[in-house]
Amino acid sequence: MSQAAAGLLLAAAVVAYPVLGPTSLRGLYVFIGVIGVAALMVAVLASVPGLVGLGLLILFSEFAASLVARDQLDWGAPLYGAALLLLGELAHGLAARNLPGPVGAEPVRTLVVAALATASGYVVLALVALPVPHGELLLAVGAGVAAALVLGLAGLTRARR
Amino acid sequence: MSRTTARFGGYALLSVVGLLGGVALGRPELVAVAAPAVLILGFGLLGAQTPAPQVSISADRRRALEGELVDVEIVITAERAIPRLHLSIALPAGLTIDEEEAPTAVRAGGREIELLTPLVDGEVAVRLPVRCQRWGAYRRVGIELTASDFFGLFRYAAALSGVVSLKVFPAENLLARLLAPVETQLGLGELLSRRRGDGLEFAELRSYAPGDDRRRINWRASARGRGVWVNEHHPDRNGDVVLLIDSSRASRATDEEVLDLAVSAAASLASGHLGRRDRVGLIVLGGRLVWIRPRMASAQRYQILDVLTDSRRFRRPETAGAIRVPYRALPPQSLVVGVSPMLDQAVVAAFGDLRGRGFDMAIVEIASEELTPVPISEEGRLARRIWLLERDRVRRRFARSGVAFARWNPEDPFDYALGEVASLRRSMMRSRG
Repeated sequence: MSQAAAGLLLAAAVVAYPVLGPTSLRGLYVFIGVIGVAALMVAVLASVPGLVGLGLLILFSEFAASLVARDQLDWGAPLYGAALLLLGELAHGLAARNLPGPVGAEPVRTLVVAALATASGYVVLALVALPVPHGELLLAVGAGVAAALVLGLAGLTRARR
Repeated sequence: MSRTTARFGGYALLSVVGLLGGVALGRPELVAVAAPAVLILGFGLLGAQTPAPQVSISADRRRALEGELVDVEIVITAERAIPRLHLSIALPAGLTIDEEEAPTAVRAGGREIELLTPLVDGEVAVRLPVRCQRWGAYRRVGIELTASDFFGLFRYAAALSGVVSLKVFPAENLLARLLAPVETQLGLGELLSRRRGDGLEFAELRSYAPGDDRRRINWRASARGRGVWVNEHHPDRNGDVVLLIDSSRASRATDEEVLDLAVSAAASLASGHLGRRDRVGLIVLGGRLVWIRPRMASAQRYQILDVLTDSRRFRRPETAGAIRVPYRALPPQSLVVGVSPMLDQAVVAAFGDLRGRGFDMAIVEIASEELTPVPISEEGRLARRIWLLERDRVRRRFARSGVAFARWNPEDPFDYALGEVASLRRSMMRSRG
């Protein structure tokens, strides 16, 4: 299967997943998803890798919007995240295919990271789902960890420059 | 310096929005969706380092002949391993990568290759089989290097320049005939001196004189009863030949082609005359005046080839002022063989000056008009006719002054023009007695 065909299948799955649940806003979600895929297609066809991030963000916002209608935890989120990553990798590789030099990420390492991320996503969801006393405390710890991650990435990026 | 890629920007955006959005909305699913982007960024940032590679280039020899194959090795070293290194190697015009033995597909007329290779253990070596297509002195090889980390988040690009010292000598053609100077020198060679002396070639008979070697008596002539006759011989001598190359850039449209022809002819002449044990010198006119005094040794051949190979460097857009060839560059009684398109007035004047100083001269004119396109416009054609008439006038002026002059059509072998010059010189010598 060619990269483009695989990308289209993955994009269709990513757009369709948020509308599978019980919701009355399917049309809106599909509309957002289609805009996201369109952004990815423009990035690939016009060889503008910078647009891939925007496309992924729009698809992510479709997923975030679909969560509003859900009361329970969405256990498919880690898999959705992995799919979004693979879609992003395919789109980046195709958008930068005409640029000189190595353009894509190494596939094996990317798959390993996707698997690790899926596992860690399930750990996060499991921690949230556990009926523990003082759940607010756990939530605060999670928020702290998230903020620390953002700050850590920013610090590393700054150090690299 | 490493730069972040669009991939880095996209994943950073997704990570920040996912983590902060998840906390703000109280939805851990958003954190789970952003987790792959966070992990890739984390691993990429922890593992990426600026590679700062260095390049060194070497050829398996420093000198080669046109058409020969030379192995050029490019070694790239870095303090750290580079997981993904992309090389774009561009050779200077005149050198091409041999497609059959190249490590990867060759492009840009055989002058460029692109290679994707990891740099492990801090070093990677690329061997390029390089065909020397054109004579010249080559030094710089351009290398564009792009390196990336495993996740394609950072990109390091650098344009490096490697130095390879390679001289490609012009190919020498075996000439069927060579020109003989009017006056020979005292050294032993293959030329017949006009004087009498020891040698193999019979010159004439003369009456026996006391002291003559009895082995030189011509018994058949003496038997006719009119006295005793002895054989006289021409001694075998060598001559001084000075090759005069015009490297001027009088015609931009054809100057590279004309210089190629002049250099190839000079290399062939030098090789032929040195093989005949003549002393051969070289003068390069038309830019910086460069000369080598005539010598015989085989090392002289390489010295001449060295100067010819560098002749492209001596060139100037126009020759400024008159050219005066110094006396020490031209021994007396030497034969001066000029190879020139006769386009630069200063060079034409220098030829006239040498003839005026009494040197035995022969000129092979490279017919550069054969290489220039005929103008389409009426005015252009008229200008071309005037130019051709002017060139014809110059030729006749040299012929009148006793210079053997022949035109060399670049489509013909140099031998044709040289043969014409040799015939002219013979008929001139006969007419002078």
